[in-house]
Amino acid sequence: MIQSFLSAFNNICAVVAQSTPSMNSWLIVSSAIFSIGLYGLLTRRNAVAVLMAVELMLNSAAFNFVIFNHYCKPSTVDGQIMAIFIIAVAAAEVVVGMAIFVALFRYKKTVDVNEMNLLKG
Amino acid sequence: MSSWLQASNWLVMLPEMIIAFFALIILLVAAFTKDSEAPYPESLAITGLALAFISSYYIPEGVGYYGQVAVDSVSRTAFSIAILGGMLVLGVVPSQFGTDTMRSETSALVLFSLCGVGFMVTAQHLIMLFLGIELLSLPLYIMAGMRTRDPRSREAALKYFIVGAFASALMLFGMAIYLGANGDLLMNHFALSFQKNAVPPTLIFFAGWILISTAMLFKLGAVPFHMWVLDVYQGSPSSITAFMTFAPKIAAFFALAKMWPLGSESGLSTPISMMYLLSFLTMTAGNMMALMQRNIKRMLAYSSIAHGGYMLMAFLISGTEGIHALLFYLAVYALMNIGAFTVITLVAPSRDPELSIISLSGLAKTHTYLAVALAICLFSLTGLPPFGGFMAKFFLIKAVLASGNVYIALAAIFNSLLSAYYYLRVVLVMTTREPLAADSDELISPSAGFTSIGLSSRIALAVAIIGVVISGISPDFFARIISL
Repeated sequence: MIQSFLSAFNNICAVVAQSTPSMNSWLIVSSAIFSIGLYGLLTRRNAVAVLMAVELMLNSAAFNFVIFNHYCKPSTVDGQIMAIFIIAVAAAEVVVGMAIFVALFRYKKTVDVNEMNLLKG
Repeated sequence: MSSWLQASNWLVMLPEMIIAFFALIILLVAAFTKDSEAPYPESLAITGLALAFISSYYIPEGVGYYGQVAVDSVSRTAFSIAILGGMLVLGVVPSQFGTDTMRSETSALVLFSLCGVGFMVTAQHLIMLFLGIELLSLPLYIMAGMRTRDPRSREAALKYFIVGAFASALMLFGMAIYLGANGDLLMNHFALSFQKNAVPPTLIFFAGWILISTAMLFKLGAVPFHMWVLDVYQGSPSSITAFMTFAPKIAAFFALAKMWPLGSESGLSTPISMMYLLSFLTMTAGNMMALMQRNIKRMLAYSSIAHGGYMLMAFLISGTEGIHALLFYLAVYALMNIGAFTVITLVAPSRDPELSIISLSGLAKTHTYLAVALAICLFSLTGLPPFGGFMAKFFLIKAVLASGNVYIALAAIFNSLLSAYYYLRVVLVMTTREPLAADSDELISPSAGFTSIGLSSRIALAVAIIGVVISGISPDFFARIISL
């Protein structure tokens, strides 16, 4: 675990030194963002924070699209177009999510996801 | 401009265009009229769906928009089933929302959602698949919270939203990996990689494939990813729940069919054993958990999980036979669920809003016709012979047996036997128990409940029941109607 972190750190340092980042170092960044988002999704109790965590995951995916497109097939723009679509759809998702949170807050005076326990059986 | 239109073969998307156009019209009409004098938005929506359904017979099959979408007989039939189900659900919406102001919004959202189904079943490019799944899901999140005075409805919307957003994040990450493995986002790489004698897929391809498939399995509620189904189905308005039971399932099944090797057509054994396990777990866990439910909507939610498990068996069959059995199953399944949830919508206001199974006691005496309709749907869900559910299971299990998977077919048959307990218990409660005290002052006549409900829900319920019966008695005729 620590070994892999160290090697990742070394990798990043080497990249900074050479100033021509390799695909791997970009992928490490985007995977780190994805993991942070996943961690936040699983641990946060405030629904708005959960939404922010999901946004992090979506953005890391968009990042990944651009990285893979740039390094694997620079002649096309599939990945970049997908990144733009992700940004647009993520905005729509935030609108829907915040509307749901506001509706819940007006009833419960909280958006703590652990308090959502009316539905069970 | 015109040459671009010709080259893009835009006619293949005509049904989706009609549906989206009518959804926008409904929103505009709602914006410029007062709620009290608004024309019936559902009739406008049903007109749009009927036009889209008719047009889907006449549009050419083939590839459109430079390989982004492809229409064939399977995708067209799947979309037709979704459209017909949507029309029936729109018939029930007025009795759900009454004079509430949400009716035009609900109609427009149902149309947008159906448009997403159309995108997903015809998608040949992952951008289309992504847009389709979002266009399908975002309206469903809103509709889950449509019963604005009920906190449980809002809670269902929250849960559906968080799980759905998580699933789409996973799917996007998988799509990015797919792009890295293949260099573009066309979906035919799935089919090419799973051909016999193809170069074995790389590990990175498998990673992307697994992540995208996981998102689809989330949408159709297969077992390791099913926990959201119960809360969402229970909390949502009943008529919307009817829509949720079939629309995302149709879309997810036919998106999955494009990315999963059917049966043994690929030389690999991993996908087959994975699907074997998924199907077995889904049907068994769904049925086991349904046995101990006291709430009828949660019971039907578990039953829909179990039916998803039966339908996953179609992926064990090579060739087109499994896909055709799956189409027939989905059509009958949509009708059965629309029938059952329509009855629940109609009896809920006068009875327990919690909708425990016990609250249906004596329904046969107070609301005879509704009780008969619910009983027919439950018999059909069990898979009893004169009704459609039997023929659907028969075709599917016959095809599974023909493909040589005996054990999973036996598991499905035993699961059907098991499911008889919890379906028929509801029928027993309806017929043998005395009506609850709250109902005794209600007018007791066979037609009670029919005078108070709208004409459109009556027609929708009747069509659903007739469909369930016809598909059991004359499956060929039924298959011709849904243009199999």
